[in-house]
Amino acid sequence: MQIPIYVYVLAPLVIVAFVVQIVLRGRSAARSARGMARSLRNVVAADKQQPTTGELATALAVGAHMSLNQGVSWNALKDDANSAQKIYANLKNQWDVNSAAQLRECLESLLDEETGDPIADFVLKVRAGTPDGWRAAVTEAARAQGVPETTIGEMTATVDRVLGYEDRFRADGLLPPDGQIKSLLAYDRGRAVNMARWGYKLRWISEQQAQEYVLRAGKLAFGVYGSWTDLSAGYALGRVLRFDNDEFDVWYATILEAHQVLTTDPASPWLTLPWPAGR
Amino acid sequence: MTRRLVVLLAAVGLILLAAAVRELSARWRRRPPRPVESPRYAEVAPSADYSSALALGALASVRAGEVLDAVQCRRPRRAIKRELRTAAEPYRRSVLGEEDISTAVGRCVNDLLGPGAETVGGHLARAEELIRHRRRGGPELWHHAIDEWAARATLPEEAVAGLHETADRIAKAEEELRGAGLLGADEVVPSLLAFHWGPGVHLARGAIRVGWLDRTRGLNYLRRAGELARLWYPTPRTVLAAQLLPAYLTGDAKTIRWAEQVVPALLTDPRSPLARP
Repeated sequence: MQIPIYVYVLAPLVIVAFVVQIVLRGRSAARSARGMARSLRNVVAADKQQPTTGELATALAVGAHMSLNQGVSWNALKDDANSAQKIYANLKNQWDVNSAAQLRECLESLLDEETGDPIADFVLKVRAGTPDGWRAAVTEAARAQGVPETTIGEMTATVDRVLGYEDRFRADGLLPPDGQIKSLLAYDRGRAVNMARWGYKLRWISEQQAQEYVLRAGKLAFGVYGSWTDLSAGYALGRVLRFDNDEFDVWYATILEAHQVLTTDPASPWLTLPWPAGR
Repeated sequence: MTRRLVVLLAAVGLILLAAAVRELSARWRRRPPRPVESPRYAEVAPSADYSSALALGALASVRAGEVLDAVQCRRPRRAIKRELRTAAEPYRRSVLGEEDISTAVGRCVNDLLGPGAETVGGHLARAEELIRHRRRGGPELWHHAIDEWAARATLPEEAVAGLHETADRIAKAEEELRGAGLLGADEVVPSLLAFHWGPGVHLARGAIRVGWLDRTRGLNYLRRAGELARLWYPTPRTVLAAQLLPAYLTGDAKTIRWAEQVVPALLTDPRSPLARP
């Protein structure tokens, strides 16, 4: 039987596609392994070819929690530890972001004045002296706005959760002895820095756009908090309120570990860069 | 018809038949068990620490055929595991991917009895909202409290009318519960929270038994659930009424018939945690 001509054309194409796929997967696995090794070593990684000082570097340091957890260089504008395929899959599965437009939308929502937890936002805004006074202030302010009674119940429960976490944060050095958390916005700003990093890596936004997003995230964070540790506590609370089940399990452990590394590792931007006051 | 076609059709038929059998057997395994009508007792000395929690979980335990007067479950582990797997199914996936079954069970119990325990969600949220307005203003001023809140929340007229209608349905359901002897003459349901806590306690007991929930953590859940029950509910009758009110609201005839047959004995049998002061 004679082999048709089109087989001679198609077969090499299929083989080339197969090889390209293997190469891409290999590259992706190598990058992931590098990121994983870095995050397992739990040391702050920096890209030597990128600036470690200046406005952009300072704004990138706002996303240091996430970059440390993922083994990404804290000062890299483009993710250097994860392949584009892995980032694409993460964005799709965990963020439901499938396109450049959705990424920009997501970035804008991370840079607005509301976090994904409006109840916690409200509770932190009306904070008052004692725990009982705080609960009463929350109830009064919420009732005045016609908030449903069931939601007021959730709000007072959130007051208790925040108080519980703050106690634990103080005991573990995440907060100073008399420290309180002002806002959860750090969690959104930190994620915005990384979202810009991923968007640039996927070429869904340009380098200039990524820089603009990062600078915006930094500027917004610097206006709310008073120090890197203050920012870290805000980020930690945002993350544990969202994912942890108040039993200080794996979510809390990863946050605490990252905080300790970022406040002690000599290569940490939180030690090498001054907090940009008065922005 | 050629032989080749017959073989092809037979193969397709076999594949379809296998898929149908598989689906049927999966449905059979997932079917809710028939509710048990006679309560089972371990007849051990009651533990004061957990009696309120056991009272909360009594209805769910009777229904599943579990003893209701001891923390330690007595059913076969296989039956408990099947029940836990079904309950934890919606908790299997998280941002971390597919979770281990014990983690999913932990999340499920935590959702029912953890920090969000005082939050009523889903289809009961509207009724709970209205009941909390009655709690705030008292039964006499219930409709007035609803109007006041609706005005502050600037709700449209039709929505307010719907709220009053639901409030009337709640009052009617409570009247039916009183008629069946499941709620005292001058009692009202203070909250629907016990509707979630009951299954929560029952699942926590099962999870402790099969080792899918750390014993200390599980017992903490039970203690906390007991404390919350004492805080929200003045009598065991109100706990039971809260767990049954949704069935009366939706006209779930099967559950109502089962409850009217089973519950009165739970309130009088000295072995029952619901009969203890």
